[in-house]
Amino acid sequence: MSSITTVFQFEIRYNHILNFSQIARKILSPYVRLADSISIDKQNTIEERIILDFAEDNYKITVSWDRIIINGQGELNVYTNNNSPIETPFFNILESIKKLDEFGSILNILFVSNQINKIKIKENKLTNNFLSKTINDNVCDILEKTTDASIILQNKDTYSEQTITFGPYFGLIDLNRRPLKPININSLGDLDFNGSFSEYKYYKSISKVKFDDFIKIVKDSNDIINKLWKVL
Amino acid sequence: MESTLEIAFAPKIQDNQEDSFFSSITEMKSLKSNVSSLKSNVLLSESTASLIESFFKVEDSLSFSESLFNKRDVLLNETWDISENVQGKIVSTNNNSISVDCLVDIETQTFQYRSFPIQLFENIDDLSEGKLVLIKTKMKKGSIRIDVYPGTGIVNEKLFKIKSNWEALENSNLDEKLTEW
Repeated sequence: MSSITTVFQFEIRYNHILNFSQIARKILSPYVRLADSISIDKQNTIEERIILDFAEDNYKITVSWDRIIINGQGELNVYTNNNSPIETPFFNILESIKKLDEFGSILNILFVSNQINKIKIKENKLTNNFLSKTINDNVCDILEKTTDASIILQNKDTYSEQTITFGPYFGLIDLNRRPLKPININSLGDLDFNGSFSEYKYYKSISKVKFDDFIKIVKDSNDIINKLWKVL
Repeated sequence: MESTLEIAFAPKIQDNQEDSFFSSITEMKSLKSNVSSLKSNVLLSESTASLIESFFKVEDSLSFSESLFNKRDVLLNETWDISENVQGKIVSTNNNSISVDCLVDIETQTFQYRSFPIQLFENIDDLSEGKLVLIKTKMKKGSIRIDVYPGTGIVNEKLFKIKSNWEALENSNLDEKLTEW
């Protein structure tokens, strides 16, 4: 069984648009007909957020005064194909925002994806199996008994940051602990198994972003995750 | 002998998980407070307590499924291998079909000429040549689904204004008669 992307988030942040709540609805109105539902948070305030929910396709687009976000789940390659939801409507909406007189510039991007991978192992052996493959025996013995563990690896420079957090996966309860939750957990199949969990984050300061950048980020993320599963 | 009995509510659901399971937290909280008052004022036998506990379990699962189905008319768990939103411009129409220039690759500006049954476009007003449309296509093994939407405000018309190869040759003197052989 290959790994499952339980949720991902791609976020493009830009300079604050102070009058966003007054102008956003005009830009987003054409896209409402594509979405299954729409909701507005903090209505008529400076921080108004409009959420287009494409429930049938398991993704959501959130547009606010300082960022545009897409949340999705499942096979990431679906999102890297030409004309995927990332290219249309996500980047389309961004292009519309960029055309506004009030728009300053893009500041940075953030990509986060959570993945799980099934391992045939009993729950009571899961943590020890993880520790034996990753951590020195002396560290394992610090506590009398270790029931859960996770490791964070980071690669940071002035303009970018790459972080991967991973550990044993104890089934659905682990997914509910994460800040980022699946859009539609029912469509992901049976996730209540034992295995490994990873959360990959990529942040970059950037002033221009294209669909090709997203494709590259996903490819890099897949390469790293595949490397990780081989170790675990 | 009298004893005080404490009733635990939905023990497997932590506070931070309630959001995802219950559409109406207030309903849950009011149930909690009702029984809290019972706890302090009434002394319950163990069997009554277990009855109340099982009652709440039933209520919990009911409100869970209710919230699940309220959100959508139909609960859809269909997954697709490919999902595309293709920008298009109607090239021609007849009684049976609509032909559309489809922008299949925005980066390389690659177009494909595709024909669709006219029924797919019946939701679009003023069906005529030059009309912009968005064609949402989802595919998986043995199955395809196509939804067509009006493209106004979504489709970028500038992407369809490409000089044809012939127009690019204008004023290049290639159409002048050869004077020498």
